[in-house]
Amino acid sequence: MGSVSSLIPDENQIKDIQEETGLSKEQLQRLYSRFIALDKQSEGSLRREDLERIPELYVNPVSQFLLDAFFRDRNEINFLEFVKFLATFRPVDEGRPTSINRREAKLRFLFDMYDLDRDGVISVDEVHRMLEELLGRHGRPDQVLSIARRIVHEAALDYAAANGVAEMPSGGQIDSIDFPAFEHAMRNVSDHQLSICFLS
Amino acid sequence: PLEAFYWAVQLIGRLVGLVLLVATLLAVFNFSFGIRRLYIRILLHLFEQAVEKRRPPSRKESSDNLSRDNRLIQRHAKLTTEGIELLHADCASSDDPSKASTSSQKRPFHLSDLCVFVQSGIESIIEDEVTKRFAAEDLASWNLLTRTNKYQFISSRLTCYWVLGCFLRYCILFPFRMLLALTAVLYLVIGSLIIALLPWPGLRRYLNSILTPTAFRLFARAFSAVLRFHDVENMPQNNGICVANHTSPIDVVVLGCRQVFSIVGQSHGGFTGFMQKTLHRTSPHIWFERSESSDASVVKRKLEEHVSTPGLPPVLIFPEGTCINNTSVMMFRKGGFEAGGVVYPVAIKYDPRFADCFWNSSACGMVTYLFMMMTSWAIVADVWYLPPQIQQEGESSVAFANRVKRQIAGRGGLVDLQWDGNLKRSKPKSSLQEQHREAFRKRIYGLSVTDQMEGSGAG
Repeated sequence: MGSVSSLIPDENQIKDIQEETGLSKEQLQRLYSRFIALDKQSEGSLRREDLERIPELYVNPVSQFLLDAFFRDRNEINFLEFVKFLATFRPVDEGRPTSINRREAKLRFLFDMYDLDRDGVISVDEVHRMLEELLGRHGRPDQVLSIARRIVHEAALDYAAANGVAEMPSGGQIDSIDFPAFEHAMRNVSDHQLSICFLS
Repeated sequence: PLEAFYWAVQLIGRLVGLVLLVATLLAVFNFSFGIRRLYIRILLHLFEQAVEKRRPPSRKESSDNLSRDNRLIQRHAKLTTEGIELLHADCASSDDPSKASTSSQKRPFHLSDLCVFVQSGIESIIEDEVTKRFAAEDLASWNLLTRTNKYQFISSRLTCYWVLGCFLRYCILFPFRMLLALTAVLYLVIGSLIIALLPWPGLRRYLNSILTPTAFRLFARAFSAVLRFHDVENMPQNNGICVANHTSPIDVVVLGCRQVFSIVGQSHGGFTGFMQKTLHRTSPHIWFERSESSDASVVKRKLEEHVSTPGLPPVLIFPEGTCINNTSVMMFRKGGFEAGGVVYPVAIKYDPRFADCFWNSSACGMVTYLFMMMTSWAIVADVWYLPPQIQQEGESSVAFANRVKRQIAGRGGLVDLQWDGNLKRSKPKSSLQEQHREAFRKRIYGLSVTDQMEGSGAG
């Protein structure tokens, strides 16, 4: 119990967190209460298992990818990291291009979900993995693979065309796209589709 | 001085005995001085005066006297047991591409198809329908119990009230309630031993119809229970099946105040087991082992037998199978709805301001729970007896169960959920994950050949 109470942020910390995340004090309190509720072992931090216990997340087909991206470099998250992560998905604030919830940050997270080997590009294999996860074992492997190839190839061509590159070097299939190409492919996705609507 | 001490003790003992006797008689004759109701009114007044509301009462107070669902986020996408539910948010743009996905047309996969699942996933991390049902209900303003204090900053004035409250609850109310509860248990045990010795079944039944409800009434008074019963003309009859939402073992006491039931429940050890055995002496109940309960046919058979034997008291069954926190009704098991009897739905709603009645069996045992109940302010509950229902032509047991569940949720002001209450203990079935993948797959263009394979051995 001692470890938990030492984590209750004090007044100054709360102000800092508010400043950084754009969440109100009351929203932070609610999130804190949620954090505590999920932290069944009262460790003061959340592990993967704590989140997997949420039934709705558990049945989500991409939950493993989501959790992998969330727990990328660590085994557990404390409250600050928890809140910063969630605040990333607040709707974009006009006129604050470098804030925590900018579009680029959201797309980064999605990119990270695809990019399993963390090499900075999304390969055909990685798209294939995602498709497999979404489709389960029902998709025929060769069909799914060809869809994955098509997607990567088209996204790369699309990006190249938009940047005025007329022809592809050395012809043939392109088998990976980097973050700018991904951003370009997602250009028609509205901020609304990427955000969480916090109620005040 | 020593003599005076003994004399004082004797006097107090006699007074206490007298009070207990009076209380028992009041319970037997179902008469009340109205002291508890007055106490409740005073408490409510005190709460309003002493404690500022955590948030202004202007938000959506229409249906709120019963259940408040204070949301932190506006959901965009929910994964339910039926599929993906896309919800319109106030901040939605009108030509949202995600809305196109609700149509049944196939379309090619796009990298952004991930978004709706990610959104739903993150939203469920913040707020999901299920995990909050297994913890005490959120209160709009603090009710001066430490166990419900999540947000309130404690000023010195509040601390004062709280200390007084503690003193009242632990030092004055609790000992008295404890004595009353012991009296109730003794009354029940001795009474049922006597009745069980009598040779005439008719007489036994008659005496039990007096003994058990009065014992429960006395037990209810031990919690300072203020119970309001509505639509009493729909009370369950013999050979019927009474179904109710489940929050706590006290549900049995609440319903048992008015009539004798045959309770269907899991057999426990310890104090609970002792009470179960006591009750079983005078009336047939249906106790089963938890391992048996998964064998639905055993329960079904016993129910059918009970329902078809004339003159037996109505069965009391809690189809959720486990305790929920009284803000929602979770999936009903169909067992009680297959046995062919008349179903009498009952909705029970506890007022959370006076006690947190939810029993989280994995967090504390029965005795601890009863202790917490006896040191709460009071137990205030509304009970609605809904009109009897029978299975319609062509209606499956599951559909019947869901229909009744909807009625109970509606009447009690509870949220109607399809999720299984057993999620308190275990993870969802992987088939649910498959269900969502299935729905997604159907929207992907270019997998038509796989669709043709669907019929052969899918799943």
